Amino acid sequence: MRGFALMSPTFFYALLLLAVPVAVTITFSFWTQTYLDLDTTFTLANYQEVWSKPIYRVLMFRSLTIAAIVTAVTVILAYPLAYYISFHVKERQALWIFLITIPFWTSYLLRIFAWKLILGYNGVINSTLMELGIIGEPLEFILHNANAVVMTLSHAWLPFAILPIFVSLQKIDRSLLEAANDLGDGPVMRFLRVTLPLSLPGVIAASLIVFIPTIGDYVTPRLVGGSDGLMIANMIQVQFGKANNWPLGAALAMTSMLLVTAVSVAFILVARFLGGRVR
Amino acid sequence: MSTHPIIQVRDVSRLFGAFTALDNISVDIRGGEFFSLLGPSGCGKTTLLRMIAGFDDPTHGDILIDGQPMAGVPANRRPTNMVFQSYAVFPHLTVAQNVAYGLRRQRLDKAEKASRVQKALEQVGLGALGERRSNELSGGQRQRVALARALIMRPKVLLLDEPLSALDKKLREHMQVELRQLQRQVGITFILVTHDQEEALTMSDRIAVMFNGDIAQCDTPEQIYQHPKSRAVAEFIGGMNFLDARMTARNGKTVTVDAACFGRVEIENPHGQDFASDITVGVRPERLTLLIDDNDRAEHEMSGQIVDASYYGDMTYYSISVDGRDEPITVSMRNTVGRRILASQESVRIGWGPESLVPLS
Amino acid sequence: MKIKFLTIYAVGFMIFLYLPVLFLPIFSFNDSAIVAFPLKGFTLQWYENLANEPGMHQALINSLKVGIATSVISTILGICGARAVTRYEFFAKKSITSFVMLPLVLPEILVAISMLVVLLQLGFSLSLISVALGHILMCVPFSMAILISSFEGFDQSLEEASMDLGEGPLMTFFRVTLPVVAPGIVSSLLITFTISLDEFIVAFFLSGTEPTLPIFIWGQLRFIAKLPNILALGSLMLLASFILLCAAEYFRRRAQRRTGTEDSVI
Repeated sequence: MRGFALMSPTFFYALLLLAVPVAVTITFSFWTQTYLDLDTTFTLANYQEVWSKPIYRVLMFRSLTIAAIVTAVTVILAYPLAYYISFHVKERQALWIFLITIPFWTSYLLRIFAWKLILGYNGVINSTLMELGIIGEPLEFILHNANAVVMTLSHAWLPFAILPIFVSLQKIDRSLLEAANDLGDGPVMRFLRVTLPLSLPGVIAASLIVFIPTIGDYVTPRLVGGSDGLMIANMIQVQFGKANNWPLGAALAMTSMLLVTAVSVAFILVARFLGGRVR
Repeated sequence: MSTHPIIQVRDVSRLFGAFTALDNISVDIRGGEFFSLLGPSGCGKTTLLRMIAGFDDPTHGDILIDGQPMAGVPANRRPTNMVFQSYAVFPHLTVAQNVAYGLRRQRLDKAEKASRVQKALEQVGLGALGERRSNELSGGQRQRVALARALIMRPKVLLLDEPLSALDKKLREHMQVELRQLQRQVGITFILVTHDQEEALTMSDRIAVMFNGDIAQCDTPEQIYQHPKSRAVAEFIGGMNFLDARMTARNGKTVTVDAACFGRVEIENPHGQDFASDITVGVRPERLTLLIDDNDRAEHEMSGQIVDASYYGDMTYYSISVDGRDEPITVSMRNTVGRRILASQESVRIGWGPESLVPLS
Repeated sequence: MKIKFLTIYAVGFMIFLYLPVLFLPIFSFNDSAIVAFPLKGFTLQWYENLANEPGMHQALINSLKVGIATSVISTILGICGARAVTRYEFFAKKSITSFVMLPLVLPEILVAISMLVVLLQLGFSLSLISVALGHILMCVPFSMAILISSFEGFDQSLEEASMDLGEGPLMTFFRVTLPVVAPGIVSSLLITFTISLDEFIVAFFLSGTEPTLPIFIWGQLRFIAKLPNILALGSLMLLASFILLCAAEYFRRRAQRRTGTEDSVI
């Protein structure tokens, strides 16, 4: 009981400021906006609109695709580094981890802004290439598209993906690897049969940590995405801003959360299944 | 040594949900004695110690310290101090600050405090290390800090929770002697919790052997070793041969037993216990002798054949199969000058006396 | 061979990680209003401009207010939570803990819009308080994570030893518990302050008419002429974050030395 009493301020804070608001938002998604008033009769109209209008479907699908690609890129790039720090850095592991986490803690907005500087019309890449005489006109295709969004988001999430993978690699008892060697596995087979399966929980955690929040990002698409790089969160933001249709915005948010949850669960199941198949 | 009980444990039980950690235990601990609670992990010895210290309360029963009931008295008001298994040396304080920790409430002036701290440190052989930070100390040094910190409080009882278990063998043996000497010197009652029988035997005035939340036997080390009450106690302390026998008569402090391998004898029953007619009789390997020369004679003899010999340097342990018994009997022999190690298959005679046999429940 | 390849990869990775952000300070000293190579020369002009930007000053003050409130309150909540998790068993401990840690993985926009909906429905107007409320929610998991690892190494027998030596619960807290876990608490304060200082998404929805620094920067991004000033401001923020994080790391390591868990990296 003392434990619960001690936990309760934290718990009730989260309950009051997270669970209750999310519940209210879900309720909202079943209402309708009529100009400045809310019609509080229960309706599925918002959800019907979300599922029937192509614009939402396109944005939803694009968001999931971008998030999936970002997740894949991030995890694939992060794994070797986590592996390197865990297995090959002997003395200054803490320093490496610290250096990796610094960018994560610094301003997200500024990191994205930096990419805008790099990819922009007059940006670092274009001006450098022009200065070197490789191109005559600034390249336009590097900014304001989905690739730029993937690039920027991947960069932003890299530090966050490394940590869970690193932790799971650290937990692997080194004698297991020696045992695998002893039983005849070479480095590659040992990695595939021992290291990778044992670090799978870290890979799954890293994937979810990147995938889920990426869906909700609207800053990156706004700054570097252009019109074909916009994502569902931009639409949600519009509904809560200019369009002032909160119930629709709420329905969009809930739908995307549902999709994300479904994809995540499917992903975990598939990953576990594949992990279980490696023997 | 006074005979006035400094600690009285009366009918104490401790339940954790459905699990009974202590089952109606009573024991008196005398002022000034070195008392050990000995038993395997989970036997309740630490629970009992923590109840005396005030970190846990009995579900039923009372604990009295110096005649005062301790129910409702928190740890900080009890005249006991503890040396923790992990030592619990405060990591943010120096050695001297650690030792002085409990003196705050006594409102001593600075010089008095400093001299008492210094004295306590010297008592445990850390006189020069007062300014060290605790993370610069070795395990043995930490233990001494914990000891000095508790002793400076001049407790009526010092509680030691497995204080030597984290040390390596050499240091452990050294500390056993040192702790024993320290206890004699300060004259405080020490209660030691340990799972190490050798530690308990060498250090204690009395030992309570505990199993499954119960005290199986509470006695001097010699009594515990020579006259264990039960097979469990005998098994836990040292090695012993167990022989199945029939009890044919019981007469006050003796019983008459009968077994295929040694015949019918009357043996001592010092605790005056009751036994079932199927009885186990124990005999320590060193209480048996091997009769090697033809003219060696003993009061009673049985013949057998050596199955195996284990050489321990100072001793050799022989497994010997004897008639009327499936399992071999273990006999130990001191490797004195000129004594050869016997080989397997050799025939030998085992000499024994009824005074070596112990009836066990 | 394999080790060598990984080393090269790791170094390249770190460059990739840091390079984009480094362009901010580089261009913030560049004597040109256009962000492009080649660099034109060294100037402190953009930093001087910041001094004459009243909107920025107000945003800075707002950010500090929110940051301090967030770090103090979320760390207090973190202390309660971490202490409960590391010391006690209680009903539905796992579920409750996961629930409290949930904001760590939720899309920030969901947190932001949900709070927006509720606050406005309840008739609160948006202010720095609403931003702080959101930031506290997001910072509690980080604070908990830092403090749990700091409390975990805290040997419970230390408190018992203090009681055993005659101190009551209150003095035990002040003489033992607090000093031993203090570095962890400082580390939590610094990290949560940094998060709040740099947080954009929740602040964007909940700040109303009182912008924090990131919101101010967002507003200025529309004006191309203001770009160099933003670079200067952004560089200063990166520097501030960097210093705060180094300090937090220092205290975190100290916390580990105190609790004797020196070997763990995270």
